Amino acid sequence: MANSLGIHIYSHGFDYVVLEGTAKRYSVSSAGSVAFSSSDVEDVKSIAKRIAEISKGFKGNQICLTLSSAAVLNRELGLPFSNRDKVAQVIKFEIESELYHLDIEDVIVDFFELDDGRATSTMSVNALNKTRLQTALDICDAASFDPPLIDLSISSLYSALKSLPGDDVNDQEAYLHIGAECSQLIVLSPGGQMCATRTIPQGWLELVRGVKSPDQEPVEVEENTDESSEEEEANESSMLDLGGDSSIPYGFSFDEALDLCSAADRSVFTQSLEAELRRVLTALNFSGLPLYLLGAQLPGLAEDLSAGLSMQVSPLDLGVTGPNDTVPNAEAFGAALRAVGAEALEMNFRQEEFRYARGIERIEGPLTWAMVGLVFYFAFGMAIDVKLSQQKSADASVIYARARQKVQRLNEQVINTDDYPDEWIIKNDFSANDVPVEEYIHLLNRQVGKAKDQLDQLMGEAAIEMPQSCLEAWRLLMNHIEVEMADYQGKWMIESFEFTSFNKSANEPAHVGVKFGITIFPDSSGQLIGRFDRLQRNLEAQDFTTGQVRIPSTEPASVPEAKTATVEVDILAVNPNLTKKP
Amino acid sequence: MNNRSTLYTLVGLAAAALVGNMWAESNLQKWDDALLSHQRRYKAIWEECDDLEMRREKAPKGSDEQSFRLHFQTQAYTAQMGDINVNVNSRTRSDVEDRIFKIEFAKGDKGFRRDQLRTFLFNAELLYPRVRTTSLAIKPHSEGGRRRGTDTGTERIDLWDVTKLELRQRSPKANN
Repeated sequence: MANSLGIHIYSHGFDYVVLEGTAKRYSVSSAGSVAFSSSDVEDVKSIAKRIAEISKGFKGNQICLTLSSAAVLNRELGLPFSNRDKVAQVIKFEIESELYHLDIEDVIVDFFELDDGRATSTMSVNALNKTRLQTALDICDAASFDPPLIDLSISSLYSALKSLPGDDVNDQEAYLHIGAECSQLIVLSPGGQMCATRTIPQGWLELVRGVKSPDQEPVEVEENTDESSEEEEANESSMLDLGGDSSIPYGFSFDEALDLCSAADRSVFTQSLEAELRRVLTALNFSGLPLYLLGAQLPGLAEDLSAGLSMQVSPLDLGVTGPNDTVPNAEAFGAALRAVGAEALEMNFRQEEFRYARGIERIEGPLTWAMVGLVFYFAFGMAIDVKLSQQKSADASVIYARARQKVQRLNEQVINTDDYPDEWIIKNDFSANDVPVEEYIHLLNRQVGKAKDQLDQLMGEAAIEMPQSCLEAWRLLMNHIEVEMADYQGKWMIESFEFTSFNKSANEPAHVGVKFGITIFPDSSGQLIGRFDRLQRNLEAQDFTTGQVRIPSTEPASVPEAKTATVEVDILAVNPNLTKKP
Repeated sequence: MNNRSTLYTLVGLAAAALVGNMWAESNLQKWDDALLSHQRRYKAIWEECDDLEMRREKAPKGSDEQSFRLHFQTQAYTAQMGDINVNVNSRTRSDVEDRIFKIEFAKGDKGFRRDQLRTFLFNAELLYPRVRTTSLAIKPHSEGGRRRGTDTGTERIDLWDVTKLELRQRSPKANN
């Protein structure tokens, strides 16, 4: 359940009401009145401390502060239109002539429409002194809350009256609320709308006007009256401006005031109030209306007023009670109702420089400058980045142009050389390609790579197994034989060579089959035995041979003592470091 | 325009500026990368172009039979081996295509020295891609091209007759 707090602050204290529930269904969970001591009103913090005890735990939008209508200037103003927004635009200019004794910039003006039965709209305009409003807001600030609504007690009283059950009023009715420092008269039209209002500057505090304040120490009468009067003036000037009459002593509750005052004081109060009422009702031409009394219930007041004014006067109970059957203050109750969203007169004095600012509004100024700073920061950073990008783009373009020129020179060589095939021309114009400019060099690199692959394919042996070269086999064989026979003293000669290259098969690797005839003469000692065997054995031990080396037979050569043989050997005519014998 | 509208406008502008700033940063990063990539590729292109220029000069410019004949004849001429006759055959295997060149030297009174023959074969292999000597048979030179029995071990000079010479160029089979 939502909670709302209504606080009515006036010069000598404050009233509060805490409501639980909604505008239509609620209950008073707490209510009370607090009287300020004379020391309280000299310091914002003292008042704030007292209010903070009550306002603690309430969020800003759950609080409505209502200020006393005493010392608020009220004028009625006729206007040809009643739209609130339009009236709000002109009201300050319209009322300025009425408040000729004030600087219009020193007051906050708000209004509500009166249902006075006239053809034109009549606005009840209220001008609240900015100093007083600032004081109230300072108190709230010190009490650590920020009320979005600041109303007047006359308006809060209207909200409280609207909570009364039954709207079927057939005739005008007048309500008199007797407050602490002033009394408020409200006349409602048959439709229940505000018809007329008056603030009578006479509250129940008048009963203790001559009584000493409970916290006031007895002061010896000094001879020098001039000095004492100066001190009083100084004290008055140091007091907070919350309206009301600061000459009335502080610190009295209504019950204490009733106890302290004499019957004569009450009689004087009643007569004075009666006179004021008569004057007001006559001026408003509302004589004879039923009058209901709210607020301070002075014993016998209704009867006295009824007799004196010759009209029906009766006390009115709003029908709400707080804990321990306390009767909540009607103005604070009305303010609490407004905080919870009940019907109200829509006045709110948080205007102009006192406008209520939620969340972001409070940091709007710094945020605006921060945003300006951010915009400049980002924009400046963007400008630098764009400039650098342009520079790098230009550098990249120059590099691409040079690479293209290099390829172009190569192409011109192809064009100018007759025996160069045309397919060797490398494509270097990519303007027709649907790719970003920065990708052109990649395409150019790919084209050059393609040309290289093309040449590799023409020249190279990469992907295919080549037949083995008989020339290489010849070289390997002869190198070995020359080394093998180097230490042989006798003569030897090659008779024939026959090389045949074989492709790789299932049983054997690619190799060169060699048959060569060799004739060996005996050495100086006439020895020849074992030379062919040695040749066969050593050949077989070579890395470049594979399989067995065969010498089918040795035969006598045509020359005496020499022998000849045909040697059959398979040679791996590749780099021996890559292919080792198993 | 009131303060709130101004603030909202500024928030919008700041958001737009932030987006713009992020775009500019990303654009700068892109051009940073692009410039590095350009520098790296420029170096690669330059080196590959130089390499291509050099290798193309040495590369065979034709792959038809006539080019091969010309090539072998040139090498034979260079090695002072006289005229040659080149027969060309082709053989296709599963993934390769072989061109087989049977070379016959003109029958003359002189044979060839082994170094002549090696020079011829070396250049024939080296100066044309993927060419190998796949068959070679030589025997000592005999006058009139006729072998006089098996007179092995007899003194003779280093002159030889090529009885069989076959070179082969192997190429990957074109994927058509």
